[in-house]
Amino acid sequence: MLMLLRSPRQYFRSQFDRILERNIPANNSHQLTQRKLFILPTKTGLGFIFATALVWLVGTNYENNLALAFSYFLLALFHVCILHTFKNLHQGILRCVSASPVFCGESSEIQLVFNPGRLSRQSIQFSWPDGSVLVEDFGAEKEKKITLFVPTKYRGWYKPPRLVVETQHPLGLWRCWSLVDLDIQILTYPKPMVSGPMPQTITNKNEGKLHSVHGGEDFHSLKEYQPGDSLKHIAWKQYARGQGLLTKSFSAYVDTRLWLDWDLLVGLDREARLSRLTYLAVDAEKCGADYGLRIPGIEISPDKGVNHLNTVLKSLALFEFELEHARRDTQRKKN
Amino acid sequence: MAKVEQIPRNCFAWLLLALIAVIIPHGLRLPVWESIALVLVLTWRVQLYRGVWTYPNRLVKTVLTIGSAVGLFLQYGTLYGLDPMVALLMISIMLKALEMNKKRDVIVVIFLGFFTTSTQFLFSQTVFAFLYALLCLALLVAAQISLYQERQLSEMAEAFPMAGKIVLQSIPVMLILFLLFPRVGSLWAVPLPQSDATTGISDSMSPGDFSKLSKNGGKAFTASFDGDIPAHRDLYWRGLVLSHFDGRTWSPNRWGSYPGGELVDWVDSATSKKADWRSWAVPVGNPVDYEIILEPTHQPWLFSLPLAELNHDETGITRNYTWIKKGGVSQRFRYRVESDLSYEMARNLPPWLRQLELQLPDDFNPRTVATARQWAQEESSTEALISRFLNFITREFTYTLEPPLLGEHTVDEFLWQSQRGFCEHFASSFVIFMRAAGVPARVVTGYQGGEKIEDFLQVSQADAHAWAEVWIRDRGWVRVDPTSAVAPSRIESGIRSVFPRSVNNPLSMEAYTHISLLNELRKQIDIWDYNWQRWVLNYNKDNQVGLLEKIFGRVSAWHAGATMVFGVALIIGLITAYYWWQTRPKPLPPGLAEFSKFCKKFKNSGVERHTGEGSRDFAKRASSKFPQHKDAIEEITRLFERGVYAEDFEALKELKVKVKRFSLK
Amino acid sequence: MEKLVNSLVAEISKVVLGKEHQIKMALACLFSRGHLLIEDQPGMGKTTLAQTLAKVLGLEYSRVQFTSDLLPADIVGVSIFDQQNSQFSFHPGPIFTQLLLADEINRTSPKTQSALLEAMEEGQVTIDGDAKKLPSPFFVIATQNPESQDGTFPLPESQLDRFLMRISLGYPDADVERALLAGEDPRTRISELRCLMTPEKLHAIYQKAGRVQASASLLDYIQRLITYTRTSTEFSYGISTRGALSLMRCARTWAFMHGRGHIIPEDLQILLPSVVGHRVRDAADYSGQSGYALVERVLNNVDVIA
Repeated sequence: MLMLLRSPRQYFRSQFDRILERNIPANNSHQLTQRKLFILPTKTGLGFIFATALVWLVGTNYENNLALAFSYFLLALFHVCILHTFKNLHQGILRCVSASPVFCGESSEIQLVFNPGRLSRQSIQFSWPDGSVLVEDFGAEKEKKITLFVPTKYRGWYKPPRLVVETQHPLGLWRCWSLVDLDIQILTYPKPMVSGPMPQTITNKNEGKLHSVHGGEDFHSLKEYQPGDSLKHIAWKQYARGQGLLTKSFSAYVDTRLWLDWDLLVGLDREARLSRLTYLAVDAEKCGADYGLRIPGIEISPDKGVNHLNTVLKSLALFEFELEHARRDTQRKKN
Repeated sequence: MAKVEQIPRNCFAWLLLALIAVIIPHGLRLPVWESIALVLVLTWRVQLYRGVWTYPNRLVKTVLTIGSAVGLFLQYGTLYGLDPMVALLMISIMLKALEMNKKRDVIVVIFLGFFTTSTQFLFSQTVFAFLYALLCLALLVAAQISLYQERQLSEMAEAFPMAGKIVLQSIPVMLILFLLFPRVGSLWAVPLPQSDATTGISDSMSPGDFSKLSKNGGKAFTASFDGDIPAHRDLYWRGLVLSHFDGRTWSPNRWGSYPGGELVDWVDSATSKKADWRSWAVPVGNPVDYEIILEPTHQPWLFSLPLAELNHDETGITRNYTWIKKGGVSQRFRYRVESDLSYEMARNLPPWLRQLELQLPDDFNPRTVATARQWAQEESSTEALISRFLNFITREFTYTLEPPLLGEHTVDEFLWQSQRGFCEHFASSFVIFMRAAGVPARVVTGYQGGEKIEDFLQVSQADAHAWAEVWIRDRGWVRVDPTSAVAPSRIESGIRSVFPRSVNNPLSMEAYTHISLLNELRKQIDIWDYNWQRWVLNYNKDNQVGLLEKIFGRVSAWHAGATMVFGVALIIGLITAYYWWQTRPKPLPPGLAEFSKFCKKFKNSGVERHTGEGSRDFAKRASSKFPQHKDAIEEITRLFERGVYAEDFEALKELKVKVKRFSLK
Repeated sequence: MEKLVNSLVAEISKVVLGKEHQIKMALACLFSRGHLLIEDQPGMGKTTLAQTLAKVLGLEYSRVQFTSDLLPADIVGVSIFDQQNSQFSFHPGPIFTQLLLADEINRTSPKTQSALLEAMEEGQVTIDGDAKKLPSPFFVIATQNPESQDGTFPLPESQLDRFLMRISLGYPDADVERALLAGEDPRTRISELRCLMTPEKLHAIYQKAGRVQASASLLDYIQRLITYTRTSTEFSYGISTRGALSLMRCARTWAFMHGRGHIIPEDLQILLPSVVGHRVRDAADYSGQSGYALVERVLNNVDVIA
């Protein structure tokens, strides 16, 4: 109560947040019921009322019934619009389909599905505060996919603010809106930070693995011919010697393994290390090298490919992210 | 400019249509130069919309604004007044439309459009005006809808169904508000429409005036009687009394003041005090009560049957017992009258007044004057003189809509040469003849008769008429209509019985009375208009109170407010219910509905159908749980499959029966 | 028709023991003019099934073992300069047959894979600018190892889509396995099998199966299934239109094989895992192995009656 006196704006803000928490709890899918919708006149709506009042004054002062009727017509229009604006959102179902993982600071692509139900809907605006805005129409019973972008602010599981779904259709006199929490979690990788090359690990030569690489240059071994083996690789000499049909196989020594090691990045704090490791992982993938990851508690053996990169980045994103979130929360409260 | 602020093309198109619709009814009233300016600005706007021309810069805008304001001031002499204000409104809406390039500007133009549309009613309140205003409203609403619809020009039609829907749904709400919204009287004085173009009977009478009026046609007023409509010959609607003749033209006496009291006795409904001179006119009997709705004439006089009594503020009675309205009739005016068709009017005539009523210009109509003096000596009484004159014209004269033009001595030429004339010729010559014979007489103008449509009387300009009043000793002013001597059927059954096609104005519906379809249509329109006037335009605070009394027995502001809120809520509720009904879950197609009914019979039995479970799987489970119903279950499943998936309608019918009959007990 | 199907299944079951359902599926696939992908461990009888099918249906049969260095020409054939005639003569590859068994298709390079898949789609191969028609009917039964091993090239989604069905055989029941172990190798019996099908009969089946009725309610159901896969969070992508059409085609054949003139939802429910399983992907799954489980979830969440 004291807060109301000290900072009424903040008080109402927090009260409103509480209502939102209660009426629109986090959920993957929301049907926009009465409880979840708010409706208020817009500035245009107030202007409309003013125009109506002017017409009413004309009618009253001239005792002109038609001008009066006209002003009541406008007033009726105003009332009827509440209904139309409201029904444009009412009972629509909004569902989150996917949120693409991104590097911190980039915008994640969020796929939503809006199901209009049995009514067609027009000019519904979907937007994120500071994110992208999209206005869409929906035919009756025609579910449609919507793609929106929302910027991420910190790594880990980033929870974007509530999605604003609103409409001013048909006349812009009323604004019906809902602030929907679709329980979206965006996997946000640490922001890549350019750093020098990874300090070399002192590797034991014996660990280098002999890879059988197709199309390698060094002869490796002979194996029995299988139908379909290339004729070029048939060991004709051996065949001539009567050793049967054999196929030559080739290979090369490869040792491009790289360890992205937490401990080697000395003198940096957690976030800086994660950012650098992220950069190195992406860089290594680009170069086509095999790379592994070693961070406290986690070791991922070297490999390459998109799936491997995703695994590595996910580990980096989620490494002690709760601690980071807690730190941010306390910092925000202090401000 | 941000894309969200841009005006969609479809909105532009609607707005242009709406603006044209809003301007047209006013355009005819505006000064010509302004109409041209509006068309130019509109063209500019269209060219802007097509991307050919550019927006006006600030200098051009300033020049346009100041220029048009100055122009209006020069045109009207003032900016205070309805016409200059409307003209100013038109200019501002067009200039705003010209410079608009953001959504917010469009909103301003649309709101100005709403306001402008409402000002149309100050000039015309017919049904058509209202319907036209609804059209304007729908166009404006369509423009406003399309403002929030991002559409291409080709898709602009999409806005109209929605606009129509909203407008139609608003109508019942509007009706409730109209009936119940508290009425307050005029809050402050406002300028009324002014017009130099007066219609109907003017304040003077020259030969040819009435035939011209008659030929033009047009509605004068409607009268609805409480009882029966009096006989046609008694329907002399007195308008004004003309006592001054200058040799060609009759006009009212220009009294500076009336000796011994005011010229006009204004009605004061609060005190209901009457000037004592009014008692000189004595009603004798045959009272009628009626109501008149007078079309705007922009002139002060009101028409009524003698001897009339009005009880309406802003009206007054003159010394001639005619009625006038303060400020003139600039809008349709409705008033109730009590008349006594039998009366005696002003038995004493003061000498100075007698002098005025005997006034004749010198050196005009010498032959008439001479004849009058001779006849006056030959006849013993005034009555005998009158009948001799009437006999004289009955024999020789012709009543015609096309009287020949007359020279300097109009009455001489008429009486002794042409002998062809319309009512004003007869009335004028009769009065001059009487005056020359020393009998006070005067011309009365107004209307005679009217067309009975349903239960009301429609009086047209074609019914315009002039007659005379003669002062007879001991009887006072007595009405004498020389026209009745020449064309009795004019008085008995109306001008159309004499000249079936008297009106020849091609713009008037009255010109087509000979085409029965059009004539019926004309009458029907008159009926609509009359009812419109009666039920809509006349609805006022008293009617409202009456309505509420009918509902509740007594009236309080609380009742009115509650009824209004309830009514509006009811209608919005009905519309909501309609949409709710539309969003109800779709009924299952036939077959599926029956099968789901069948499945529901297993509720709480342990075998509920899972989501996604097909009929066969369900039947299998159900039969194993209820082996005693195995046959029935399998039969229903088979029928369901046949009916729904093989689309066998016979099976569907059977399925319905079987499901109904099926019971687990 | 049901009789014919039953006798076909019985005949094949003499060699491929205890796999009636899979045999029916394979038949439905071939009767729908589709290509079949069998995904299973080695040694589960994939080859046997293919051989038996060829024998019983009276189709010309050949087999290609796909290896990493197999070239497109090794399948489609080559033009060789004939010195006697002084001109190129075409030596058709193993693909010129009615039933081709493409063993371990995921072992070969994408180039070779796509050569085969193109032939599957077009019904013809192009060599040196010459289009050469493949025999009709032309079926491909491809097998692949589910486990990703070194040196495999998993078929991309676009190419998986060209297989009408993906089935797996799975281990036989204990009884059947015991019988197998106890008795002689059933493969020796292949040569004893009767041929029960003629090209005319096959053609008649195509014709009649195409006329099986699909009611409005059934189409509604299919659409609900498709929409679910397209808009659910569980899927990274849903069923394509080609997938939906394939499903309809199979369902028609399946209903026809069971002597019905109309499709019922159960047909779809049986076929869905095989027809659609390889065309959808779990959102959380990078490797694309799942499918059956996902399809099960679709079937459990989309109601037949709505």
